[in-house]
Amino acid sequence: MLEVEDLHVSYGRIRAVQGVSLSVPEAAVVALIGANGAGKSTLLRAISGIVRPRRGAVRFRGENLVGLPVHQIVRRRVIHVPEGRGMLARMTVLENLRIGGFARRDGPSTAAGLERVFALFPVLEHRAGQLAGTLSGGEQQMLAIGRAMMAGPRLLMLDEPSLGLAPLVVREIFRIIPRLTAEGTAVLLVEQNARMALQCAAHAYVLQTGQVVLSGRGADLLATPEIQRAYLGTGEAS
Amino acid sequence: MFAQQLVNGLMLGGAYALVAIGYTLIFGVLNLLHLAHGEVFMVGAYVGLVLALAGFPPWVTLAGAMLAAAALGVLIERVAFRPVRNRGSHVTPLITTIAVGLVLQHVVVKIFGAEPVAFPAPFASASLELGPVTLSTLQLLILGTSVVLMGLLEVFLRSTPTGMAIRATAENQTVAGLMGINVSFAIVITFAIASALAGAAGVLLAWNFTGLSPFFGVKVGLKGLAIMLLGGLGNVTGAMLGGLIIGVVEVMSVAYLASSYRDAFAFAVMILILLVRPTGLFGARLQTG
Repeated sequence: MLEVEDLHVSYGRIRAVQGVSLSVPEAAVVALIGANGAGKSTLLRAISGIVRPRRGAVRFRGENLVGLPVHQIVRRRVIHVPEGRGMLARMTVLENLRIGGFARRDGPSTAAGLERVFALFPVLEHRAGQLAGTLSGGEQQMLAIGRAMMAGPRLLMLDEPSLGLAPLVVREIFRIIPRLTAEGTAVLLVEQNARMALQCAAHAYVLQTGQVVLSGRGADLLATPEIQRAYLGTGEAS
Repeated sequence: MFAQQLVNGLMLGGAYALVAIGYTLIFGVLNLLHLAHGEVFMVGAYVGLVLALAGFPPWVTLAGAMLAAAALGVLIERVAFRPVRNRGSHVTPLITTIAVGLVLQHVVVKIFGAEPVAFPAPFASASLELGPVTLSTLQLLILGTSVVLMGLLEVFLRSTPTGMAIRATAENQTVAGLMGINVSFAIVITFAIASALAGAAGVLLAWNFTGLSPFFGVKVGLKGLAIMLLGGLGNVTGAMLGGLIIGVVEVMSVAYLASSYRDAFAFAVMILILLVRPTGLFGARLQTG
């Protein structure tokens, strides 16, 4: 469904992404792991149109997205939950959710979307009238994902959903991912928490200094010694 | 006497608030100052003058001035902001908008002359006695119009999709884009609304002062800018209340102190408040609450 072909992205003279190709099949979870500064977030930003790639193509259902403005890409229901959750902190939880539905004027009613989000994250319903900036980190991440769901994503890109959250909260967030794929949404997951990501991903890519250095099935990568050493911190111990 | 002056001050302040709201809306979405906003106000008043002299009723005068100002504001966004947005420094649009302001002043001087002109009264005004306060129907119209416009703006920003899109754009343009909001369009709408309010204020103050000049926008524009600072950068509610405060201070200083120092008193109060609360009465950023 999503095909990234030989993508190059630079910030000035810094080459953040250098010739990455990857694909995300329909309703699959694909993980992107790698150290800080490997170019994971930049890759997502290029797919959603926030930064313009220098070279390469991003094909979504056959159409090249490169050069389209961000809101046009969103209307194709390619939804990006940015790192840091992208809260509209001075707006209420309910307003954030409603705005999330702006991408989708044709689809089911906002009320139905809200009901679905509140069923998954009941805490958001309790906090509906509160300003988003007053939520805890975990609640903000739930709001960010709930807001993305309001857009009815075909492809959902999550950038570091576990960042700064307690393990229990992380598990709660990750339990949503299989539900999304069951409804036909594909997920492109960027994570530093490699174990979590590889466990739920059908396929994974390892990024290093802007290039794919390894890829394969999530479970296979979990068992690879060099992955264990570099990203899971278990190599020496076992 | 005091109650009377209070009403007079609120009337003046309501119109000032409309100008200040425009500054604050534009600053809110772009983080940039629009230094030709006072001239948009002035041009709106002149369009109102033409309509009034042609014999149109007051509401047409007002609506025409708002529409013309809105169109002018959208044009200014095109020529003075968009080409330099995301390029160059924050200083660039200051220079481009000062240039646009000068051009507008001189165009108006060319057409209408540099001398002040009389603005016809919209109707033969009657006086209403309300206890200690004498209110003319014209004053009631001026005060009522600014209150209604501010109320409509508040409802628009709070509960319409476009209003929410503007608030989201003001908070974070990147995130707004990721929500499917067309950020450029939200900015254009913001300019249209801010400028329409300035056009309305132009006609209201021309009715109040019964005249106007091509340099009408300079002083009122400066006052609007200062009121925006007073209310908190990008804060709509702050601009509303800041405008009312300055209007009342100005009228009170004329009534009880010296009329030739009215602007000095207004700006002195502003400086005092900013010394105590440097981010303004309500703190910065676009919000309605």
